Amino acid sequence: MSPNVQDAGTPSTEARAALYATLSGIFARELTQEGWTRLCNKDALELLRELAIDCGIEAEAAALLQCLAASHGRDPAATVEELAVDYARLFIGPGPGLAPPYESVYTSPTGRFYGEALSKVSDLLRSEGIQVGAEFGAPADHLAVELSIMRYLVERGAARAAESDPAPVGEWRRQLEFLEGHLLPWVPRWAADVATAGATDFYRSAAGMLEGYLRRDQAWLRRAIAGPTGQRVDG
Amino acid sequence: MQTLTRRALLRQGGIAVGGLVAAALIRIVPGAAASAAGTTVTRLNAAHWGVFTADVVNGRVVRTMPFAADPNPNRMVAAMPDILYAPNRIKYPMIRQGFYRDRSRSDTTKRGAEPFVRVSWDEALDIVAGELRRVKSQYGNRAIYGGSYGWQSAGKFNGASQALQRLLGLFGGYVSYVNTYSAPVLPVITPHVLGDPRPLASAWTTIVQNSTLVVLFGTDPLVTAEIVSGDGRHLDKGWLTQLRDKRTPVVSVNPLEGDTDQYLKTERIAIRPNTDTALMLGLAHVLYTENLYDKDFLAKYTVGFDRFADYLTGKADNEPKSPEWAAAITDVSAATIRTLARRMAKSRTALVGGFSLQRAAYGEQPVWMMITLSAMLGQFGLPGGGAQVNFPSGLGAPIGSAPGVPGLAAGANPVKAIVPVSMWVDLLLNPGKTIDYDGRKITYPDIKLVYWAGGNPFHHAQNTNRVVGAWQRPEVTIVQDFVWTATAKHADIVLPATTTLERNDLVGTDKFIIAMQQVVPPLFEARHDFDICAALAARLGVGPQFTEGKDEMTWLRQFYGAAQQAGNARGLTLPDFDAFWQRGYLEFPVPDSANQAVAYAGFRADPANRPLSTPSGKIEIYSETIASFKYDDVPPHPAWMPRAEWLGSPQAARYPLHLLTPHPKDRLHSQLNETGLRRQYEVGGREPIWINPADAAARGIANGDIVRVFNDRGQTLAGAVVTARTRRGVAAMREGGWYDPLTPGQVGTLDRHGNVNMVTTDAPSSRLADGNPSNSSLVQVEKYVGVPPAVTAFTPPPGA
Repeated sequence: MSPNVQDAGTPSTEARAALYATLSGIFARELTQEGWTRLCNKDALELLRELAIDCGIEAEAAALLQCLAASHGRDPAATVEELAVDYARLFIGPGPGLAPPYESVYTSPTGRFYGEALSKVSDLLRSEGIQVGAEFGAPADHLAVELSIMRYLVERGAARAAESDPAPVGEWRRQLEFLEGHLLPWVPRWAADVATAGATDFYRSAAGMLEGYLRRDQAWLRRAIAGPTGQRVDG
Repeated sequence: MQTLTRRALLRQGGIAVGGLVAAALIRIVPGAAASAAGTTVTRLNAAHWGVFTADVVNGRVVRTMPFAADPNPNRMVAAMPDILYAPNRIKYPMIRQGFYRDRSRSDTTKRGAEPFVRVSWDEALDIVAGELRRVKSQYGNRAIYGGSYGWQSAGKFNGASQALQRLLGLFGGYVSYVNTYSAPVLPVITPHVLGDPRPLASAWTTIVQNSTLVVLFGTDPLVTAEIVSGDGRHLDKGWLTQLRDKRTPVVSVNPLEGDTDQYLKTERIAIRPNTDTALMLGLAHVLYTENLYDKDFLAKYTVGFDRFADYLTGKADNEPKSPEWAAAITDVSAATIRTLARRMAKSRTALVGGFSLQRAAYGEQPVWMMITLSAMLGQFGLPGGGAQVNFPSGLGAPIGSAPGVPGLAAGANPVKAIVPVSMWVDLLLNPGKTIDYDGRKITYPDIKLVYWAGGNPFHHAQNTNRVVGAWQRPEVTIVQDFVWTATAKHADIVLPATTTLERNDLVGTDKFIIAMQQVVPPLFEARHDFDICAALAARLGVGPQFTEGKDEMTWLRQFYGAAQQAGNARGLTLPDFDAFWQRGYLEFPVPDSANQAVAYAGFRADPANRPLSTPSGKIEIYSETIASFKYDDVPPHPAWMPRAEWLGSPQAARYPLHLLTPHPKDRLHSQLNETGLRRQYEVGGREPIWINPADAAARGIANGDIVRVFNDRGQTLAGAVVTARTRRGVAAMREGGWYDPLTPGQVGTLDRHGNVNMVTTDAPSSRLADGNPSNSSLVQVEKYVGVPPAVTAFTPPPGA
């Protein structure tokens, strides 16, 4: 086990991977009624709270947890429809959507899909020897794909750590590189658009939590890579 | 201890937490994409604005470039990736929230205002098929409007409206339209005058060679001829260049100084808008009174000149149509009119009219009068003479020798109900109303379902506020397109279609057969129009009839095979399909005879054996047929009539600027407005409006100001371009700026962006043609005070 895991304020790889997976799932598609009911379940809320504590984002997660807790007693079908409508307004359309969850839209000079950012994500996937399951139906610079790539990198790092290397600095570097190269350059602006345009507490608070988490994970990765000596991390 | 408990919990529960939304989890799986990194693949494809090649790197289109053989391509082809990758692509099937809940009982005033939900293709198709079945059984096929006018594809196979009409025809029929927004009046008047809805035009080469004077009326071919409907070469600029190099005098009657005027340095006559007929009458009066007209020609080839002459001289109405009379109407001096008439009589004069003339109140008159004037000159049917009225740019291209390529047939429509194209708004608003049209009566059916594929009626139609109201009338509106047009935003059900870059197709013109090769696979969940309609056909029980068991490439092979056969019959051997597809295109020469083609030369040479298809077999300067209609707005010979909106009307006291709506540069109507080309012409993020310096000064408007353009019909913002290219009292906004309502769904709301149709009139041009009179609108313009609302028509959100 990595000695870092036992330090105060150090997240477990399991928690990191689970948070990336959960956030990816939240933004990949509209929630089904089943998914929503499960997410609002008391045990699930407790788990989410534990994840947030583990990753040091209790404050950032508070709004989302409150929103989920507050949904108890409300008609789940109506809530899911309300969420689906807000999801479409924000992330699908009409028009570009009020906060299209694509790196290219936020980083290309003309606000297009399929920009340079997509090429870079595709190159990375290729160099890692991985690809996105074809059933997703959106380009690989979609927020949910980028979060899934992070989850993949975190899980792979954990696997390597378990095998041999107690402090897989190379893996952390890759994670930080992807985080800083692909997610952080645009997610804060995107999250601000969601905060402004979102009609539901759920997506506003989830976007806020995501932004907070990305920043927290960046800080942790930088510290972890620097190691106990505290040397600075490039980039 | 606490840490360990929490960690233990996470180890047990971490996967489960991720699994909370497992249905949507994205799989990251081993394996690399098929193509090697960095490989560039080049494909040929085509759009209305030209043929192009697309470079694809790692599955992404990185650039599109003009076809190498095109001597004068335009910058529109470079914008193709902007269409493909526009952030406002329609990505998934979508249904308006209220409609999803309440179906045909939904609150239709929410169209355009209410958000959407995403549904699966299966659910969307089931709902569309269910609505079609319901409306058919409840009201019959006459309650379905399937005209679906548009210009989405240059291909023979994937025409969206053809596919839709094929589907609806097999389903029992639909209400459709006649004529086009481009030429709403021309094909109705010219059969009465020349016996042909598509009158012949002389090859432009003959004009270059033979004309000693060219007179343009309301046309800017350098702009309009950017659109070639998929052809491989833009030829018009070449002819204009030859004309310029030959120093042929070109007079241009136009309130606006077009690009062509600048290029040719034309002698421009900045006429008062909509008064061309009065000017031509003044010219005719000079020819008549100075005995400069061809009596022999009139006697031999025309009927009714004597009755027209009574009107011309004032014998019929005590109002001689003298140059002085014309000067008062047109604001062109009597001396200029006299001089021009004498020059015309002395020269081999080509009269060239743009489509703009007939997109006006009484739009029959300038067309009819131009033909009459050319008959008086006696040069009709002579090389370099005559009247060219049947091309949007006024230029007649010599016809090439390519064998015809058939396309997907719309097939028979069992419902025999058509309305003139722009009257669909009136149709939706007034079920049961009876209108006149070309000597007939048309009674409107009651439309309950509108299905539009690959067209943008919220752009085509004049008087957008009336469109918004009309669009709220049907129980169901279905739109199939690739981009969120205003029409799609106002639909109940939206189906995502592919762009031309995502499918295979064929261009077939008179000069080229071009392989439109799929450049990239369909984006998101977009499907081809044919496939969408085929899936609906299957649900409606007409699947096999719709597809005939053929897929995309089988159809293309069939169409190409037909062209091969047609070629064989003429001794042309075309390569087999695979060789053709590999090569990308075939070009066919223009025969010498086509370069020398002179319109109506045959009629002139032998009028007895080659008569026109008019009742008299001659040019009808007076039409007994039209006289028999007894329309008070279409006299039986060409005539000037003041109209409700022009600078000489009482209305001008309130709205003192005549607004013209020319064909846009850098786009095809509303198509391409969403692309980056917008940045080349927009002003303050809005559509530009030309305003004369004197008119601007009187309103305190400076170049670059945001202005409000308004009249009783509506209001829109625009960006001021203060320029002497428009005459005093005339403003100009090109058509096709996207509609961007401040309060969506609300009639009368301010357009943020500059859709000119907020203020254009939709009063029918006359009872003969019921055309769209977009160039007959008066407006006021004022400086916009305060911070203008942000444009949201297509722009990504603020953070992007």
